[in-house]
Amino acid sequence: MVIFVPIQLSLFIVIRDANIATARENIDQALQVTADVFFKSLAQHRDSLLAKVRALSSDYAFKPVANTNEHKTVLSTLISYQDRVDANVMLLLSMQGNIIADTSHPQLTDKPFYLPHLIEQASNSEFGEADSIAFIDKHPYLLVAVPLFSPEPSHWIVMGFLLTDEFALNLQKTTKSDVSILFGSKEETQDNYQWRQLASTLSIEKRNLSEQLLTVRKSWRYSENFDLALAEQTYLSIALPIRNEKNQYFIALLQRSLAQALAPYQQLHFIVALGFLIALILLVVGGDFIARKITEPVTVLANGAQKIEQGHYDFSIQVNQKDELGQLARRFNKMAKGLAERAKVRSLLGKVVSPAIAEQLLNKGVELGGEERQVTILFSDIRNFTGLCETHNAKEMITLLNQLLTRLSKIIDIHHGVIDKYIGDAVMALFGVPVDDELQAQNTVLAALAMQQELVLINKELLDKNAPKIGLGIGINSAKVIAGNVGSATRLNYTVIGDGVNVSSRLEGLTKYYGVAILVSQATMLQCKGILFQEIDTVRVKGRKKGLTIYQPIGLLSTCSDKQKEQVSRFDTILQLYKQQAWQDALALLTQLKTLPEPPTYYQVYHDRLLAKQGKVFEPNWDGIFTHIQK
Amino acid sequence: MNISLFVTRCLLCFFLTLSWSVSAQHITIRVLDEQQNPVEFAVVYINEILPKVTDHSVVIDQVDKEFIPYVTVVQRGSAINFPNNDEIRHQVYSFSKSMQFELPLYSGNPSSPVVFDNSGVVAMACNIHDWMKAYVYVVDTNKFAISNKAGQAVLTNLTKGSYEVVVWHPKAKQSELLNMQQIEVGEADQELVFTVAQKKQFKAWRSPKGVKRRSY
Repeated sequence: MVIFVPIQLSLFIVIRDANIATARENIDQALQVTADVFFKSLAQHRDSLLAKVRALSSDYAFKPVANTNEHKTVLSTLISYQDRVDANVMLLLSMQGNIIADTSHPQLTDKPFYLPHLIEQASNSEFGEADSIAFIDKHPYLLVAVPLFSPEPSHWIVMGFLLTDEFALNLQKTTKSDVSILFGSKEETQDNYQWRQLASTLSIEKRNLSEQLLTVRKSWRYSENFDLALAEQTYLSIALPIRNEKNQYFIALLQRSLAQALAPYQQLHFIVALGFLIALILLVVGGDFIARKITEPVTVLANGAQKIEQGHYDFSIQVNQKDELGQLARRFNKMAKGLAERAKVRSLLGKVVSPAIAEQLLNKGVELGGEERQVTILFSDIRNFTGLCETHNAKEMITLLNQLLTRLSKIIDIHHGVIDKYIGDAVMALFGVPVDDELQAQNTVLAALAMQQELVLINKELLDKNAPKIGLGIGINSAKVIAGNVGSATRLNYTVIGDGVNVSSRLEGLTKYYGVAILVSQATMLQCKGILFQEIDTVRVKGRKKGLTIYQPIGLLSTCSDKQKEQVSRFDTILQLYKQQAWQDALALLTQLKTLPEPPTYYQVYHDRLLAKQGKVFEPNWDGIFTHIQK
Repeated sequence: MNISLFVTRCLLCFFLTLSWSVSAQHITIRVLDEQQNPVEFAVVYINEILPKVTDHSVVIDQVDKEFIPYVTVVQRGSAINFPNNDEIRHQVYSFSKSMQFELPLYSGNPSSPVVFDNSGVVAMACNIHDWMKAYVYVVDTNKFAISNKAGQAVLTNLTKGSYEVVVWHPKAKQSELLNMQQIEVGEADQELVFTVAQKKQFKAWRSPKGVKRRSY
């Protein structure tokens, strides 16, 4: 629109200007033709007058009359001849320029002729003839003077043709231009000529206007067209000098109306304007169409894109078009659907695998193969779960198990652990993969402690339902393992493989033996800070030659009571004595310790061992490692 | 002017000169215009009243729509015949002050000649043919001549004494009384030179052909 309107407007203006220029050119040509016709017409009238006077000059009936020089006789003859040849004025002058008779002034005789210039001009001419435009009693005449030969030049015969509006009208008939004859005069001291219309085809109003305009106007030249505004119409005009004398001018003013010349172009203007209007309407309608067909769908698409960006994958846009935009919208909806499906997959993946693994799978892609990573593995197993089966049916069991696992998984999640798998009521969780975690050991131990606290709550709830109590054994180990996607190309599992995994599983199994909730390998314990551990034993588990010192985490040092710390310290002393094979002393101290309320199961384990060692001699090769035969 | 006319005129001049050459002095007058060109048809005469010598018949012919001769000098009281040698009629007229007459349309010889009783210029023309003009100059003297093509006229047979020599020409600007010179005639022949200013002549419309009309 911004481009269209100026282009159309300038086109319109250019056409209009071209038309005006053409019209002006045409007028100019027409005026030149009129000028020709005007002068030819004037010459024709003059020649006609000359012919008439010459005829008279050769008329031998007239010669004796003229030579009488009698005023009345001559006057009568002149009047008669004037009527015969349809002239407007006739005079007979003596060779010296005195009037003998004058039809316009019947009484006038023996007086010098009032237009001496005419006679002067004739006297100086080759044939003794002259013509001029001059006033007689303020009326403009075309006059000719011819000598009468008898046979010597004896008189002047003057004949005149009155220049009237009729003369101008006749010219207008042939030329279609307005014709005016004006007389301009000025005083010696003045600059401007005063112009007076003598004969014209213009209306009285326009005559007066053109007189005024010419009088006021200074810059116009003969035979060059100029504009005159007459009664709100522009007239292209040319002024032609007919007779010039000092401070006196007779001119012909030829004019043509510009509006009239432009009339044929008005239709063209109308057509162009109509075309412009139609184009404008089309543009507005087309603009609206474009807005509806393009802009609006694009906006809808943009909004849709924004919604998608914000995660609203279920957003679908409505564009009922069959064009490219409609196609785009349909593709967009398909894309949104695809994204929604992907989000669903991601969410589901997060349920099947841990969110962190799901994220890694989605971002890094699925690759078989793995990498060596430092990881902390947590194995937990619900104790006495089967006991619940007696009071619950299968469906209730699954629901309960799911609830338990959900609560435990949440704790693992909070501590940046990922669930590797559920094996029945057991959970295997990994810490430090796939996202590195420097505090993986600490986080794992804290998660285990939190799980035990959660268990207290669960048991309370179970108690309310009159359900039997359950327990939870947890084994934790930190080790370097192979982490990665394991399985086939179509079905695989992100997991860890290595001896360290087995160790944590073994530790979980040993919790039952020692009667503790959590067992942590030394590798894990050493990475923890601010947690109180109770050393339990150094064991040789199945498949491992080296001894493995195991600990039970009691709680955060800051929250542990002095009593707890003292108990840990006293048992550490017993272990010290045990390792030094001081069975007697160790047993004495243990017996003492056992008197505490609710002594842990491993007190009894050591008590049994010490009893069995009583009286035995010192064995220098004994390493103090207890070998568990069973799994 | 045709050749026969020219020859006639030359012969006439020759015989006139021959007849008077024996007796007395001649005055040769040369008439020139302002550009020093010879002026033909100038009337030259002695300004004094002298008795009429001869009464020979004078003729102004009308041939081929022209008067021949163009200029004629006669002594007062002479009669001139105007024979019409054309096949068409002519109407001869004069409005001159010294002599007004009219010979209404006629052919052949008019019944009677025209007698010129007053001295002075008589301009004549044909009423039908505007260009047909002729001049008769009526003098009181018997000593006169007309200049030839060379602008020369000879006044013969003058006795010793003082004379006024007058020159007239149809196109002369001034009156003949202003074209007058005094001369003392003695033993020898003399020569006089007259410079006659010409007045402006309007061209007559003999035929519209060849005349371009002015445009406005």
